[in-house]
Order: sequence, then structure tokens, then C-alpha cells
Amino acid sequence: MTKPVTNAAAGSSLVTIKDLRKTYIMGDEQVHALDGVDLTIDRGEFLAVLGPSGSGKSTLMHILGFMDKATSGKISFEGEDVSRISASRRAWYRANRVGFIFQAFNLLPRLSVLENVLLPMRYSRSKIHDAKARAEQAIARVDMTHRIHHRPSQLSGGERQRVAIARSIVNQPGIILADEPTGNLDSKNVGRILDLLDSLLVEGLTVIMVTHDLGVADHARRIISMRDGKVQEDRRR
Amino acid sequence: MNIFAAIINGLRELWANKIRSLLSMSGIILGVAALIAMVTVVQGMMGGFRKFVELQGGIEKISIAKDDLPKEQEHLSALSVGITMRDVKAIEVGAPLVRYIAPEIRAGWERITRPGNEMNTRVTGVTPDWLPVNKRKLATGRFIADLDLLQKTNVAVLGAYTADVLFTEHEDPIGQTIKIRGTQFVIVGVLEPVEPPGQPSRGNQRRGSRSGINRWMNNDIYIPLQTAISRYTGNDTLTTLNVSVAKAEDVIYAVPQIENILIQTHDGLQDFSINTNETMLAEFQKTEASFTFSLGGVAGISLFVGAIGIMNVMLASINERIREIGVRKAIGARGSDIFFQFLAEAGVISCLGGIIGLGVSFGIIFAMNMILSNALPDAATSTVKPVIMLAGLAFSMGVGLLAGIYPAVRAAKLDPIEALRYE
Repeated sequence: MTKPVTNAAAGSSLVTIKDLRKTYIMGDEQVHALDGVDLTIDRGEFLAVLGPSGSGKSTLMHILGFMDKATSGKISFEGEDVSRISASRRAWYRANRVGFIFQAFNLLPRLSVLENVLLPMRYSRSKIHDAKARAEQAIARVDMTHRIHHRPSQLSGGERQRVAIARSIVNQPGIILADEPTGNLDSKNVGRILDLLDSLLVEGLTVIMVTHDLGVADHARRIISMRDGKVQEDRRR
Repeated sequence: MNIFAAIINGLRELWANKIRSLLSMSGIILGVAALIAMVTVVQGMMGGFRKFVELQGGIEKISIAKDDLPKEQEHLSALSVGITMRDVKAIEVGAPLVRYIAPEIRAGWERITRPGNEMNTRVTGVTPDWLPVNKRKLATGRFIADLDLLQKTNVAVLGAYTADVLFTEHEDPIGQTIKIRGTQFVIVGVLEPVEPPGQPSRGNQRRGSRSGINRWMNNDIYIPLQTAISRYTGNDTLTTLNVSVAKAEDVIYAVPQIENILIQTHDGLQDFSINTNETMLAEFQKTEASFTFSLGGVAGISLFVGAIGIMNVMLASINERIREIGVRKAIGARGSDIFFQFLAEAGVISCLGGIIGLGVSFGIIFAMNMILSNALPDAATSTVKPVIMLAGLAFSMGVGLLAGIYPAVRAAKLDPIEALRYE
């Protein structure tokens, strides 16, 4: 088992969730994807979210990533109440304060590595004069400079995920949301990606990772287990 | 996402699906080609026709000529003397709207000789008003004057082609003499050449003209009307009588004035016809309208089909790229960013279709000009004007953007979570 990395900036709370509920209406039936979740995530934390399918972990990730709205409850992000913000404001948070890493990498196939990493800056709504330099820096950060003009189809799975990490950090977000980031990788690449996530942690980022893999979850300093839309266990190490 | 990035993105998508994009563009290509070709050809025809009308004296000109008697007056044909100088005097007195009055007597084709040179040309007896009625200009010298009519002088004014054939470029025709049917005439003026509508270089030039002056309307000799009467016809029956009014709007009032006068001078015989260029123009405008409607219909249908093609390809493209839309939204794209991205793609397809359509229209116009020039050497040729090109492109762009709105709205409204889950 790897020793969890801790962050010097850790401590102050980044996200505070109170009585968060998300209910879907499926015909006559109500499905409670989140059923009163209370959670505080500190800056610099590496949090793993575990749970079986339908436990609500993906819904939690989507709400934390500003992709979805809660039915009720309160969320504050970096001290701001974001429970009832507009779609446009949610898009701003996604562009500027959140970085996503997906299991399927989700790089745009027609764009090169550089163009993929540049993309979030195009949507950030602020003039970034050194966009290219920042993208190159992010690519160098994940050790992919030698592949900067390659297309995703020319990269291995591990390389694609590294590019996805570069894309997630290029706008200097406050939080990284990783949805099964190692699900499609071999063990060698799993280690490399986890090391990369660890290194982000050292730089002051907060990482929340959804995973099924207990070994991967063990990498985190804090593990929460979810079941039936509730936090069943919240364990710090 | 800025416009430049959206256009680059659109071009990239287009390049990635070349055949599909080309097929979707085909309607736009045909529509724009038909639209530009239609407007250009119709404008060319109208321009040529207006020039032709202008060469005939413009729409202010009214032509009076001898005509067959109507059936009920046929038994009086022996009394019909045609248009004479009596009619000219009556119109001068009784038709105040008539500004210029130009009787003509065509003496016919005559052999013209001068030392070392000769040619055949038309000889016409005219009055000073011939020049303004026919909107012609003098290149050098003077035209037939009132005094020439009174004194029946043997003076002549040459058409530009005639002067060009009879004299070298170093000779001044003014003051020189020529012989018409053995009688000496002093040349007092040379007319400016007129070009038929269309390409001058392609006109019916004949050997003899050094500077390439068109023979049409330039191979004439004009002499005083009274000289023509006394030397050639022996009576004052006119070949034709042309008059002109000050303003084009006066034509409709001047025609009945002239008609009433001629009925009187001809003792009730309707042995004359009055024609205006306005009636010619109206007929041509009808033809123009039918051309515009038929070709415009083709262009409209093609553009409509083009719009459907673009909408279809955009919807297919969105279906293929649902996951991409999800990713873009996940990394911060707003609905409006996605909307403009797909609208820009539709715009790029339609704009490129418009540019190709413009190229095709050049081909169509070139082919039509070729066919027309073979059939009618003096016919007007059409050239595409920049404003028509721009209008065609703007139209295709507009159609493409309109067709792109619905798919773009659909893309913009996609839920990012659903889009990311899409397999």
C-alpha cells in the first residue's frame, strides 16, 4: 500500500455540502440519487469516493463538478453559495474552477494534444495572452511534450490520460474531479497516473476521485463510501 | 470561443467529412450558380437591350412610317401617299410636345468613289434634327444645316466606318470630295462611331476598317433632305419620320397628338404606323420578368434543397458528436458556445458552397455567352458584377445559417451528463 500524500495547504474548507438531495422522477416513482449528504472537503485533500452502482457517487460528482443541480440542500464552493446559480455561471465554474478527468479520457479525436489542452482556455471567458505557453507548460507537467502535435489516436491509454490531466489543470482549477481515472489503464500506467495526481496535491489542488478499485482508493487520504444516496462511511487516514 | 476558432473548427469538420460535406453543399452550389447566372444574364440582356434602345434614339423617340391600310380602307389605297413633308409641317405646328422632328429619305445603296478608293454605302437624306433625334454625335466637322436644305447643297456627312474605309488615318476627310452616282459632294463632317451592344471586337467587322470600327450603324452617308429629293427620289415622300419628345414621360401624350394630326393630314386614311421604343422596352421587360421568375424559381428551389441538405448533415454531425459536445460542456462550454460552433460549421459549409457555386456560375455564364455569340454576333454578353457575386455569397451564407439554427439549438440544449454517457 502506498503512503498517502498530504498537502501543506490543507485545512481550510473548499466545499461544504449540507443535506444535499437529488431526486429523479421516473414515471410515478421518485428515485433519490442523493438522500441528504453532508460533507466538508478541505483544500488539498485527496478524497476517494467508493460505492456500488446506483449509490449516488456519480451524481455527487456531477453536482460537485457543476454539471448538475441538486434538488435541495446547500453547497458552498470556495466560500460562495453555489446552490442556486445559473447555467451560465455553472459553465464558468466548470471552465475555471473545476478540472475533469474521465475514465474514457474524452479527448477530442480531431484535435492534437496541444489543441486539446488549449480548449478549456477558449471557454474560460477571460483573455489569456499566454494560452499556448500555459498549455505547453501543462503538457510538460505530465511529460507529454514529445507528443504535443500528435492526435489522441496516436497515443497509448496512459498517454491519453496524462493529456487529459494536462487539460484538467491548464486553467488552474481549485478542484480535480476524476471519474475512474485508472479504469481503462494497465497497472504500470495506474501507478503513473496516481503519482501524477499525488503531485497535483502537493501543488495545492484538491482531488476527488470516484473509483471501484479499493487499491486505487487506498491512495487517497480520505475515503468515503456511499450507498443508496447516503454517505455510509467517511474514513480519514 | 471566438469566430476565428469556430471557422477553423468548421473547416476541420468539413475536411474530415469531405464527401458528405460536398453532397450537402450541392444544393447551395446549384442554387448560388443559378442565382448568379440568372441575375447576370438577365442584367446583361437588359443592359444590352437598353443600349440598343439608346442607339435607336432612346425611349423619347417616336417613329412614324407608312403602313398598310386597315381592311375597311383597303379600297382607298390609291389615295394613300405615305408620309410626306406635309405631315412634317403639320406636326411642327400641331404637336407642341414634339421637340425634334427628323424626316428621312433613304436614297438606297450607292457606289461611292474618290480617287484611288471606292465602296458601297447607304445614302440618306436628313435634316439637322436627325442628330438629336438619333442621339448621335459628330466626331469632326459639322452636320447638315438649315441652309443646306434651303440651297440643296451637295454636302455630305460620313459615318465613322465609311470615313475609315475611304480615307487613310493621315487624311482629313473634311473639305474633301466624293462622288455619289457621279455627282460631287463635299464632306463637311464625320460622325462618331457607335458600338453595338456586346463585345466590339467580336462584331461584324469587315475588311477595310483599319481601326476596327463596327460596320453596323457606321456605314452611312448623310446628305441634305432636299438634295436627296431633287437628286434621287423626285418627290417628298419620306422613308421614315422620326420625332423625339423632351421627356420620356411625354411619349404617351405625344403619340395621340401625332396620331390626330396624321389622321387629319391623311384625310382619315390610317396608312401610317406610330412606334415607340417604349413599347419595345415594355415587351422586353415582360421577357425579363418571365426569365427572372423561371430562373429565380430554379435558384429558390435549389437553395431550399441546399438548406435541407445542410440541416440534414448538421443533424447527422451532431448525432455523431454528442460525446464531444458533452466533453466541451464539461470543460466549460456554455450552450451559446456550442450553438455558435455548430452555426459556424453550417456557415462554413454554405459559404464554401457559395464560393464553388460562384465558380460554377462563371462556367454557366461563359457557356451562355459562347452560345449567344455564335447565334447572334452583335448580342450583348454578360459579365458577373462584384455586387452580384457578393449578393450570391451573402444569400448562400444566409440560407446556410438559417438551416444551421435548428441543429445548433439542438446541440446547445444537450445535457452534458447525458452527452458524456452517450455511446
